[in-house]
Amino acid sequence: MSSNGKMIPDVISVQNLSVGYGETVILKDISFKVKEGKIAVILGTSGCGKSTLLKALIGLIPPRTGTINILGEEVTKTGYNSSIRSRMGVLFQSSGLLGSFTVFDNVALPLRESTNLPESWIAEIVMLKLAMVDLAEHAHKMPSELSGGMKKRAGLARAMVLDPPLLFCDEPGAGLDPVTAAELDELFIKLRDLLGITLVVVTHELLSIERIADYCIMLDRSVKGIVAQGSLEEMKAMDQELVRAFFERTSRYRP
Amino acid sequence: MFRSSQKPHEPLQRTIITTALEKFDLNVPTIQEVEGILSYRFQDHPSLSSFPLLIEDLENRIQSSSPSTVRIVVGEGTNFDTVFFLFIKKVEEICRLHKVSLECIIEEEKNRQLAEILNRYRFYQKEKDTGYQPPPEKGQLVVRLGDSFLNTLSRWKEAGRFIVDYLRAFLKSVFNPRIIRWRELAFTIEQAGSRAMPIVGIMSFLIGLVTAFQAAVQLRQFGANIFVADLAALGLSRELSPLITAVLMAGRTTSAFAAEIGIMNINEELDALKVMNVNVTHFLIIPRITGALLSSPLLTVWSFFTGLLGAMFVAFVSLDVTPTSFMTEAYGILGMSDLWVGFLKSIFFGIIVGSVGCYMGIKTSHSPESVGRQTTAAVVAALFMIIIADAFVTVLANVFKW
Repeated sequence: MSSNGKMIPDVISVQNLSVGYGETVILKDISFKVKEGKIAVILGTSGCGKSTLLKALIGLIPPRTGTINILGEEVTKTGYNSSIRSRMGVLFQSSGLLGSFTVFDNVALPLRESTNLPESWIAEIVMLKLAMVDLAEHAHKMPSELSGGMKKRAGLARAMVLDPPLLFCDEPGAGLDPVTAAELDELFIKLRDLLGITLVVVTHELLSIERIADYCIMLDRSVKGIVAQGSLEEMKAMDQELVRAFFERTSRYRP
Repeated sequence: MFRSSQKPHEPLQRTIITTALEKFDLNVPTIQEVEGILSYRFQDHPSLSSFPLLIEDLENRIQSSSPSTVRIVVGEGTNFDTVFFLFIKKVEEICRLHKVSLECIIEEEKNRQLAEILNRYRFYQKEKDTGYQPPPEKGQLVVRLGDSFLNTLSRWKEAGRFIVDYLRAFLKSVFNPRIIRWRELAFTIEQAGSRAMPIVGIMSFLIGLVTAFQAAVQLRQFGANIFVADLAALGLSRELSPLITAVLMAGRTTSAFAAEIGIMNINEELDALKVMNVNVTHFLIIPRITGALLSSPLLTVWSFFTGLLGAMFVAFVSLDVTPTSFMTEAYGILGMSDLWVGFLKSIFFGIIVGSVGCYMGIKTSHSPESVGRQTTAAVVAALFMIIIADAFVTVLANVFKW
């Protein structure tokens, strides 16, 4: 329920999802929902399947069983058509910039592929997006000339260039200094508050989770699925050993 | 489709715009013109493609009916975004150009805030004067030629340093065989040598076959059928076998070495080896070049015999030369010098195949496209150098009467 009493619709709805590679099952029986205009954080220890779940959500791994509903379309049935693809942005862990394109051309690519906008409009939009991530001066550079943080910001500019209502981010703070990571978090909050964008962020960085998370989905390797989900406050109040260990940053293996 | 219009506009213009908009199945604003105020009211988000058409429409309307004011109303519930913002900025420019006043009403507070932020970034971007930097002037032809000459010189210098490093490491390995990575060497020989046997065998068989066929037509006319064995044996041993093997090795092995080491470079594996005080030349280069060096003569011998088999087949089928006669003739014509020339060429070619691949791999920069570029350059350079080396040994053989 929103503050004005209106029902907030679900942007993502996952039911009984199982995902794996080859014979190996990574995640089974996953169910959760993400509300519009919220930041959902997928968290958990290393190797628990966070990135696998994200890849399944963005259509890079076909699910074994279960359904995924994104922006009102059951993508497990209809597939990820161009309409869905243009309404979701993805920021990859390694930024995923094309090495043979300049930063400008990388960001312009979705606009050139998905719209009929004239090149002058595309140039203005790209420069505006690059200015938003403070990279306007580096538009002409190749990705190999950028630092890790700059690559990530360029990746974010590309993910946002079509103003998608849904943005997926895989470990956005990985490899960044605390200041840049905090700036990225601020940017996510601005995107949520001003543009009403729904974000799904995969991370295990506690500081970042506490700053941005509206809803948490915690995965664990032992159960190959979700061990807990709820708001940040609900998660912190939980008595489960793993959840407590995660949020208190302690070892769960006590002698 | 336009939802309402109190004052009708030029029917032709309206038809054009409406058709264009309908074609894209767009949500378009309500357009009204009352007492000189041209008003566009948005309740929804038009499709991205419609914005340039709306701009076109606005210009047409300003020119045809000369309104005193243009009013843009971004209603509540409108999905305001970057393209929308850009549209308003374009409208601003048109109004300024035609000296028409502009009223922009953004009803929702959230959208107003967003417009302010976007405006701030736009000005920031303009102030900093960012954007495309024109590529630097290349200069005059002489300057370009000079640059290119210096670049070539510097590349040769680097290649020279690489060869010196390799030779030093090779000599060290000869005097201290314990430092050779035997397992890696065996793996390279397997990859570059034994795994290439099927393709080298098939190609050589076919080349021997074709050569014999071509010769058969002429030789039959003079009743010199048996000389097909001489031709095949000499041609294969001195020229064709080493060359076919080298060309195939350049395609398979040189490219593989360049790509393999290039990707290791991108993944910072080479840097990791250096900081662990591991000599990259000993660790990676020696096994590869030595592997190629050993594989090349062995594959050449294999190529020679399969090529001879191809020629023998044609001699038997179309020239009535029995395999025994063919082999006796071939054995008779071949001297040690013929085998020696072929062997020498194969040694040179092996070194070229291995060293060019490794050198190009090492010179890969830290970007994925560089791997593709270097791999292509490696194969081209290896083929070029193989032909040069072939000519060099042929001239050498002529001078020394081999």
